[in-house]
Amino acid sequence: MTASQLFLQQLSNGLTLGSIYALIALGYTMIYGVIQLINFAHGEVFIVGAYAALCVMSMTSLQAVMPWWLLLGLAIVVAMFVSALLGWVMERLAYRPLRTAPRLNALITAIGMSFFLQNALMLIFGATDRSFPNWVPAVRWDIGGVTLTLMHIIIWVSSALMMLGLHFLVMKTQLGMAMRATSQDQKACYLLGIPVNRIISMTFMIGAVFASVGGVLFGLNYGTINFHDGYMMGLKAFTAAVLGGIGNLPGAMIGGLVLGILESMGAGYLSSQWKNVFAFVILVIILIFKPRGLLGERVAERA
Amino acid sequence: MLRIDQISKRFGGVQALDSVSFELKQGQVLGVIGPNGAGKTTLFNCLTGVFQPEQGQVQLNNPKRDLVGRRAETIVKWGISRTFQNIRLFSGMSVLEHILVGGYTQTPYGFLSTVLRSKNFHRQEYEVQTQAYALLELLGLEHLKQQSAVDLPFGLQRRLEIGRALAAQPKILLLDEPAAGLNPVEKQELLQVIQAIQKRGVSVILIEHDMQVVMPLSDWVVVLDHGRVIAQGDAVSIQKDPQVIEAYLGKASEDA
Repeated sequence: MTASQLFLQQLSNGLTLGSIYALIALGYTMIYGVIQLINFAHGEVFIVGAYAALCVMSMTSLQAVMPWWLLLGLAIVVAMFVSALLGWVMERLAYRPLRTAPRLNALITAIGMSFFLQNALMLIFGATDRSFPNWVPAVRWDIGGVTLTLMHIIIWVSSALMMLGLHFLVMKTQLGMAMRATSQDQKACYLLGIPVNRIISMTFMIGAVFASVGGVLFGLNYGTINFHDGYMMGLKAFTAAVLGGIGNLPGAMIGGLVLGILESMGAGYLSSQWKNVFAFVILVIILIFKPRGLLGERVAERA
Repeated sequence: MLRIDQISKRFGGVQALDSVSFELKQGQVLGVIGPNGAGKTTLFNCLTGVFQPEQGQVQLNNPKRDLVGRRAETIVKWGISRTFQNIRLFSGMSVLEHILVGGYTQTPYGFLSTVLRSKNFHRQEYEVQTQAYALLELLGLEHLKQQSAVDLPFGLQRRLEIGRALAAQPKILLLDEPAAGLNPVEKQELLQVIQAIQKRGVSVILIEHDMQVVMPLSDWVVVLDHGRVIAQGDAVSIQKDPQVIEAYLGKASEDA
């Protein structure tokens, strides 16, 4: 393999991993944008989505009556629904009562929620890796020595489409406008009659839907899922959100892709054991020079 | 239309409102004046669900509704919306987007119809846009609709605040010092805007320091001092009231 082939191959792997990071990172950044909470349990929302899809895909009675792609579609819809429900319940039960409490209280609750969900998943699904059916045909193309798989292309295209959809939702719909307004001045929004609580619930649910799709793609791509994958992926995605500038949606997308690519390059050029070290060293360097992240805005002082 | 009956509000040792009563009639502009700290903004906050008065009633007629103890969301839905004394516009959002956010309460479509782009959604969206454009035209902001709101000159920002409140399609509009910081030309324009709003059948309660704004506009003037109504009446009789002159107008003319 030549140098440029290695580079392109790692770039392709990095884009795949980065797309999944980006899908999760969007949830972190949206929730932070609206209520300034780092929802540490968001990684668990991601892996719950993957488990929900796995449950649907494992049902032999459904396998008998449906072609694989239809069942996969159904699994994704169920995963979105389950994760959205989880996001809603979490906000309603754990975070809303603490809305006016000091921010640290909510943060600790989020960490507690993350541990709670991890352990619940371990009790339900066991501590071992569960194999995730890879139903996407193993089609691969060899382009100048670089291998592209159908799975990679599905991940790129579906995450790009979802991000475009989110961009449209946030920038062009009244719901999106209300979300942006709420993230700036919750009190004013409340007095303008905007149902702030509902907007916050919806933010959690939308974030959860994105994470669940990320979860299904993760399972399909890597073939196994484990209860603690949520924690690790969540931490990485959170890092990606900070790298891009937390609270900034395009930042989360770019942060996710950059982190994914850095990790792959680390794995390709150093060793796969050193990929995290490489990625985080670069991250620290970026944050030294851009403390608010790649696209982070300077916070304007309010008079 | 709106009856305020003996409302009182206390903050620690300060009696911010003390048995305040007055009535706003359909289609009227009612001016609330008084020195700083007289309780004007507290009054607005009690009417819009920010604070709950300890005593008294706030009643909306047709249909009859009790506002005390209600959430701001509900009160806006029932037809009372407001502007803020310190401009609170959203950065990164255009003029049109402010109007659309202000009208959010009037378009109760849910998340699913937004995502699925249902027929209902398209029809509502069309109506909302049409109303937003009509409102921008009324305020003379239609050529600025794509501009970032926080980059507008001060006078237009104030006008946009009014537009955002009007987007909720209120029956009663509460304006908290809309003329503060405006130059004489902008004040004249504000007068015209408020008159145009009144013509559309919206009743207005106006908190204002500037007599040149309050007096020509108001059908009824309520004077607050230390949380109490010290006088109320039409603009002409208020300007002659000796108590008012002493508490407020007199001091103002000494300053000048």
